[in-house]
Amino acid sequence: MEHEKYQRMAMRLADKELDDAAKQELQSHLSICPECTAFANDLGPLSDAFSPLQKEEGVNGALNTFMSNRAIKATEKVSLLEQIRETFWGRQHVLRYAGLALILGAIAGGAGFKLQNKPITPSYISAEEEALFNPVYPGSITEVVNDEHKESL
Amino acid sequence: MMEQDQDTDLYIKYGETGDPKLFRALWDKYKGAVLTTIMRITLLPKEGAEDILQEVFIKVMDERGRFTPKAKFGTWLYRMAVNRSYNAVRDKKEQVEIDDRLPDEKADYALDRLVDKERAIVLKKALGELNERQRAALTLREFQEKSYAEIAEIMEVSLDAVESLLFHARTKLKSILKGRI
Repeated sequence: MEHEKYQRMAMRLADKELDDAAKQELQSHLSICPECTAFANDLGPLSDAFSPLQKEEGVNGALNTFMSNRAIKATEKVSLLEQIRETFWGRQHVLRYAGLALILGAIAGGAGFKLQNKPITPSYISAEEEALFNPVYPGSITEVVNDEHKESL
Repeated sequence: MMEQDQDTDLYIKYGETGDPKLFRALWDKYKGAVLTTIMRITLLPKEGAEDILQEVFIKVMDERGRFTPKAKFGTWLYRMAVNRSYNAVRDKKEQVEIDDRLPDEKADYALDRLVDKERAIVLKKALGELNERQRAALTLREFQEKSYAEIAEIMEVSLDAVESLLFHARTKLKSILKGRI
């Protein structure tokens, strides 16, 4: 593991990532270690070996043209979208719409709740006739029927 | 606080104005280096690597106006390229083109005796023996001359991790290319 430590230091030195204090420590070790010295000496040729792949790749002309055109189209698209956004979806508009939706929702919810609980009365039955069938009212037909049922039990 | 650089300022300005000339300036500056990086990490032929390059720069276009400079533009760009390269490798798009005329590997041909094209193929085969993270770190160091700190930022790993990746990559390559360098 000692060798690996100094070989890593040698690598950092080759990559110009080693501070002066560590350089001195490394030089002291290399002066007595042929294995690490060999490792350090191989780093330069290894890096040089990559020279055939060093040349920067050129981009296809068609791709160059495509990207240029897309950049122009992207601008046009944003301009139109920006206009729509500014008109309808500016932050202040979104908050207004959200508030309005909340109020309308509350009203609709309340109305829906009331409608749900309101008993459905046919229009041809009067209020007095309806009361006769409403079990809440004493003396209603429904109460009489219920009482007769209880007696039979 | 991150030190803002010229390219980051240019990109921010592109986000504010949408001026395609500003995008073109960034494209012209980075396209070659980013394409090279993608090719070295993925080992894809140029056409496949250009698809990834296109994806990266379309993202650059789409993200304008939303870029918050937590990192420099160049760092962010390379990070996208590296991550998409990893995806390409994982999607099994990795290919290594082998030239039929390549000298027998057992033959004692030192690299300097091969012509450049053949050397390139031997090197690509050797790079193919590394994992994609080792290739990424090596590519950013050897071909883009990024510092360890920059590599750490691009790859979103620690400095120690960068050192380990480079050390293991180089050790492995030395053993693969033994006798050839």
